[in-house]
Amino acid sequence: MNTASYADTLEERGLLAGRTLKKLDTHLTSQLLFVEDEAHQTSPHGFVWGLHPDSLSANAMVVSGVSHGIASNMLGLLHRSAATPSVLFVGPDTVVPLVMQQVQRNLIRFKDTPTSVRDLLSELLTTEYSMSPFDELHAIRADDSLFKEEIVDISKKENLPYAEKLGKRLSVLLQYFKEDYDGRSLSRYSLKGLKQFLFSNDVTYPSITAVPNGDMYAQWKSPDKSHVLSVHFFSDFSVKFFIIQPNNKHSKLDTLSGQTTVDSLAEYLNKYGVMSWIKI
Amino acid sequence: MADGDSLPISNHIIRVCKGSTIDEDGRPQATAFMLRVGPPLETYASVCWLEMLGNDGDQSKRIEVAKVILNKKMRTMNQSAKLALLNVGEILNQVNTNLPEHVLLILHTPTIKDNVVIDNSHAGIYNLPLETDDHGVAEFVARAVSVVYPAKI
Repeated sequence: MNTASYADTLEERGLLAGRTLKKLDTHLTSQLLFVEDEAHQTSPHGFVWGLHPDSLSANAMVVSGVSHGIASNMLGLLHRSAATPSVLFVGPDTVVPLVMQQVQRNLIRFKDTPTSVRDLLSELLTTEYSMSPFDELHAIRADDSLFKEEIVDISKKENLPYAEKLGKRLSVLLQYFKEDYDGRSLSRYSLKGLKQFLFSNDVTYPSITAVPNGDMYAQWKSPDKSHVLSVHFFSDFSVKFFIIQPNNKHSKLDTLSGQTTVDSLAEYLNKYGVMSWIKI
Repeated sequence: MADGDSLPISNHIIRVCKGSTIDEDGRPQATAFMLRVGPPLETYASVCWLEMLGNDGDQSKRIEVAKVILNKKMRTMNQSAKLALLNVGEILNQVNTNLPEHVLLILHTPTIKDNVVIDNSHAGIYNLPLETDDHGVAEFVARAVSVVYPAKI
């Protein structure tokens, strides 16, 4: 969805109008990109964020991938706008713990107290970035804690026969990735997608590496290595898969690829006969 | 050989593969051949063209020289990184045979600074997928890896 149609949606829902909408549009085209779902997009200024349409009620929002400064502002505003703000914050991992801590300690100050999403957005776009570079750096460095929580959760999974092995592999991968990319963490949400697939489908232990952006990349091979399935688990719970398998009638390889969501992946793989050889 | 020329199919390249792209068996996976969206956006995967480092037929010597060059180029070569050896013809064969609609290019891309060539052995694999794209091409390039060496000296 482009920025104009997103603004239309907001207006239709009575959430934005007049000057605020104009201001928002100006900002959308100048520095921010809104997206319809949780897919991430990057604006020319480096902010990455989106608002989930279903969450556009007075005091509830789902925000993904906001920059640190914007996240500070948004959470602080929501915190002040209602006694019990209903906020579901989804990433990036770098931001959540530190910002929540700052909000709880009442360290983030804003010009006005917003009373609606409209005010909140307006305020959000005009409030100055309030975190120091030192705090930002600290947040970036500390951001693997949530990924590690996921690893602990995996290691405890009793009905996953390779839970411990998988936990160890992910720990090593996280260490390598941090070395490779200046301390950046792997994507917690991509790992959640991988977990969901592994936990729901009784599949064999995959080979796991990391995509440069921090997503999980899993590969399965049949015992004779003639069949290969590789899956890129994106942070928004979508997946891209690629299948290589021998053609039954000719001495050549067949390739199949597709894109779906984590919860539909097994269904597609079943259609292509893949589940039969990756099942435990 | 000029900037932008295709490398001969009989020649070989070395790719530095980050530790996070190496599987538990020590093999580089397709993730080692995906381009970063950035910023900055990567337009090719950097490789070292081995035959440009000497033509005396001693592959092991060339690999040692490449290792020194690559360690010097990368300010910090991580212990987990690996060097992947690939034959140019085998890469193109893997991709052309299995994904014939895709045009992969392996081109001489000398490193130039202040109009002076500072690394004539530098080359690039072009038309690889971005990290958010379909990854089939990267899968077949990874299949062309013949030998893997430790990268750090």
